[in-house]
Amino acid sequence: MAQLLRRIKEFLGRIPLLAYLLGFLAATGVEIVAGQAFGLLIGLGGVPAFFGVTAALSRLNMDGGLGGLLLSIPSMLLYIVPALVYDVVIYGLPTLLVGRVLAKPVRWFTSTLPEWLTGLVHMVTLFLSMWVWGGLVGYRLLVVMYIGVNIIMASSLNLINGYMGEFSCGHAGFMAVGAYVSSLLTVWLFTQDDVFGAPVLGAGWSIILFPLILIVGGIAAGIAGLLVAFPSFKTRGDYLAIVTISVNFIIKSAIENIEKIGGPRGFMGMKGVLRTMTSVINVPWLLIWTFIGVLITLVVIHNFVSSTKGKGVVAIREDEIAAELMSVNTRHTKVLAFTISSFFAGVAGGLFAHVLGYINPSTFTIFKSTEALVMVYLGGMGSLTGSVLSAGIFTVAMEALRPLEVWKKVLVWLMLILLMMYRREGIMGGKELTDFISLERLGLRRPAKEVKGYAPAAD
Amino acid sequence: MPLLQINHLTHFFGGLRAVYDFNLNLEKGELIGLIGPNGAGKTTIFNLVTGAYRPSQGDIRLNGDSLVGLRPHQITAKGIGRTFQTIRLWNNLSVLDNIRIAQFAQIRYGVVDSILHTRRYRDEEKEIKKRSLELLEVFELRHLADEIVANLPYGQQREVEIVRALATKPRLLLLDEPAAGMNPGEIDTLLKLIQWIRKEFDLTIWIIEHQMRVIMGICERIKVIDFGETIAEGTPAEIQSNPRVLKAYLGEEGI
Amino acid sequence: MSMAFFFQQLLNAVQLGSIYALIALGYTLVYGVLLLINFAHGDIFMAGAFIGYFVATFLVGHGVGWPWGFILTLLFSMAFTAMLGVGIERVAYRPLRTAPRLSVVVTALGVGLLLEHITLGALGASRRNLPPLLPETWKQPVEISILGENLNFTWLKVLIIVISLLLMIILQIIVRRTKAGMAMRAISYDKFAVPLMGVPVDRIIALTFILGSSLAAAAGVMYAVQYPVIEPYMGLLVGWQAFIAAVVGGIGDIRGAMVGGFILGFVQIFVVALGQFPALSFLSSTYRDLVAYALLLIILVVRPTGIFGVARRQKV
Ligand SMILES: Nc1ncnc2c1ncn2[C@@H]1O[C@H](COP(=O)(O)OP(=O)(O)OP(=O)(O)O)[C@@H](O)[C@H]1O
Ligand SMILES: [Mg+2]
Repeated sequence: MAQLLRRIKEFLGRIPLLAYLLGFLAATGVEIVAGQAFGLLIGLGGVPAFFGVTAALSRLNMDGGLGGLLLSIPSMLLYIVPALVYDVVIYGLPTLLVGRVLAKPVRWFTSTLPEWLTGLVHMVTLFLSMWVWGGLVGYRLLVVMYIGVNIIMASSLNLINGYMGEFSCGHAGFMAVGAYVSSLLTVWLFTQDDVFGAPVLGAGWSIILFPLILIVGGIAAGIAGLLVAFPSFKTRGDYLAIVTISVNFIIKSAIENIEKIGGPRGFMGMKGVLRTMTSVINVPWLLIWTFIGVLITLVVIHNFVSSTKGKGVVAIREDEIAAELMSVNTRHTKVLAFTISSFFAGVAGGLFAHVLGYINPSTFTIFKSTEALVMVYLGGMGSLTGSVLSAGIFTVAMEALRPLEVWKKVLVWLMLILLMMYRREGIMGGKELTDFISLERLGLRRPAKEVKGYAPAAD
Repeated sequence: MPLLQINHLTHFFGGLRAVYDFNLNLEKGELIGLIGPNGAGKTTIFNLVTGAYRPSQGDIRLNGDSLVGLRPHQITAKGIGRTFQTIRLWNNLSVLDNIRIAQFAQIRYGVVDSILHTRRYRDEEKEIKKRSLELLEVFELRHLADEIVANLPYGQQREVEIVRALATKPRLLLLDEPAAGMNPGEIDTLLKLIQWIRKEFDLTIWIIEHQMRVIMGICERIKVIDFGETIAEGTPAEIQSNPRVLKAYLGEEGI
Repeated sequence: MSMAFFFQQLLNAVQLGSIYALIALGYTLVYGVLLLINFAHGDIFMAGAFIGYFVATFLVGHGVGWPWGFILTLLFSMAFTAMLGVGIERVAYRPLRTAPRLSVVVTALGVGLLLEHITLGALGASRRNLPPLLPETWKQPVEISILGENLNFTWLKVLIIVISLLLMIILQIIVRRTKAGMAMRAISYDKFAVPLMGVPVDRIIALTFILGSSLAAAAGVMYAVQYPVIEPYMGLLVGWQAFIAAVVGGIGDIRGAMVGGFILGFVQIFVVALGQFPALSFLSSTYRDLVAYALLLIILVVRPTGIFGVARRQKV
């Protein structure tokens, strides 16, 4: 058994990342061609949206009391079997097959091209597979974008809660600032709206200005972040947690009190912005910008925390007084960390608002902040790849578990508690994915030049 | 002008008078000691000099510039490095990172440089890393550069702390009980090390120590405090024969 | 502002404040002993109200009326909620006693949200009304005339204030006069010495949760009688306000919780009341929470330890 597991691990490990991505792209191709028919054939009634998990769970009878729930379990189990078959046949086999076949050529390819180009090829392939996979069932695309938004939320919160070791629980407040500022701007500039009247600028501007407006939303959120940054000079630990929570409440409450932008009823019209953008050039703008937004967030946070300046953040976590006494300007560093973190929360908010098409203050409560916390702790404090993984897992799980209604939330909070009890370090335990699988192995970096006289083991 | 000049330094913790009317003129290149029984206020003086606390009264000047009211990192940047009585390294970071971060004040690049990896950023980071490794090399710690600090034995952690203090480019180095927890053999090595870094880095050094052999062995001048007040001052020989000191301090160790 | 209006609002403020104070005491007691901000406490208040609802429904259904219906509801709810509080400590907080403090805070946050959503899942989001435990006349406004001015009040408000004060006095007696209570104060004074002196720490912590949770339950029942709605989110809405009260007063300090509760009650009632004047009409009732949180933020920035709290200095 152990032997078999090792063989499997070895087999999987030999395939570089790009080959997997291409394999998955091929699998989505298979799904487009054969998914519908195969799904019907094995009794799934078509293409399952989320690997069959949602559909399986929706067999559960949530309204019939405990008896009804128990009685409905067999029907769920009956559904799981064909769903698994579907997943293996449509996704698993093609991915592995194509991955294995392409492993060699891909290795050759990545070891000859310059690294930046290899990186670009990875990104484009990833984007394409998301787009194609998501395009088949419209709802999937939405979830893919939510994943992106949540990655930005989790990794930016990780900067505070993981790297800096503070406890911020008001991230949704900054998200709200970004969401409202950018939505108000886009709706004002590019659509016919009840509040603002006719569009101010021509449609063509929308595609140019959209990313800039996201940045403006981020800047507004970054400024709001100062509301937490300044108190953090004097207070820390659970008191700072209270500050963040009250800032969250204040922002939400302030929005509720501005009647002009809808007050507690919320604000909409962002779907119109999107229509304006696609009327100029018809590409999936939001998917593109979410994708780019995620990349930029990860690069910025990674580069920041690995610079000596950014390591001041980690020094604060380890021993703030020693940091200050050993020349780290802790105030400056805190302001930087909080501004960067809330800036990206604002960008995430802007994307979120346009993905959803509608926002309202009660979207951005402490519940949302706590969800971001769950993602950070699930992935592991101080691990960016952990945040990416956990945001993906969390978002998909939340969508897949939708049939459980309120109980889904119960599961989330239960998981948070269990995490704190049994695995405080999260999935990644403070390490990055690249600490386990090297970039060379993934095919993202060219292997170091072989030393003369040293013969690498035959592959 | 003296390198460090302390006038009438006094500090209260609530009602507790931890330091009272402390005065000192420290000339460049000196190596002096500060001794006194437990709770005498020695560490508090270091904390006042490095800006961790703001003095209730009095003045502290480095090269004539007042340090009172400056934040600790500013004081460190002006050239005062220190170690702590109980080791305060950044435990979950590597040795190299501990040394790198202590050069925070020397960074000239901005955040944007660090995010975009501009030439300026790369040059400075290269320089910081080079200097860190050189420092570690000098202390024969280079092979431990990537080790997590918490995994090092106590003695090496003490050394790393001294290296970290040196990384801040100090002119004046404050050592708070550097020999605490060391055996006689280790202490001898430490004494040589201290004298060596003093020459090598052209430092003025001020040591708090309980162990007499450290103080008597290397200090040129010693100040003794008890209950926050200076009770004696002089060369090791003078101090050793001072009755007040014997009563307050040496008496405690049982003559 | 006429005197009558002022006194009327004063009464409202004291009544709201005493409910806040009762809940705030729970936050403060636990913080004092465990240095833990028990973010789940608001939801314990909510649970207390729901338990009261079920007890009251049962009693009224069996023909138990005023005054026993009310008294028993109060007592049973306090007892059951105390068990809930102790249970939470056992299951969720005790295993984490040696863990980093922030993990416990996260756990507390999780436990609160868990309680909330379990209630939501099991009982639905709809609001419920407490069956009538008091004679209707208690809720009717009574008019008295003081110094030639007419003043409206209800006996219910008076009852709530009286019961709250009574409970606070009982708490003071327990904390100051009994051995366990003194041990409790000793722990909050010096966390490390007390276990060495042979005080059964686990028992003291359990007592803390019993006291805090039963006060929250009493507040829950009275809240449900006064505003007669019970819903899963009331922990979030009311509990957080009480938490602000605790912080404003100085979390960890018993007097602080009481004073903080009344301060917050005053601030909120008068923000709304002042909004009734045309010149101040921008102060609509939706500003209530905003003002409360702004107050909290200001307190935290200016004096993080609250009114009565003592700063714990960090040693270098
Ligand atoms: N942050 C603080 N708050 C209150 N009192 C303090 C603080 N720091 C030190 N003290 C008190 O001030 C006095 C002097 O303390 P200090 O640490 O300076 O003594 P020390 O001479 O370094 O003693 P030791 O030899 O034990 O290190 C002691 O009574 C101590 O309890
Ligand atoms: Mg000391």
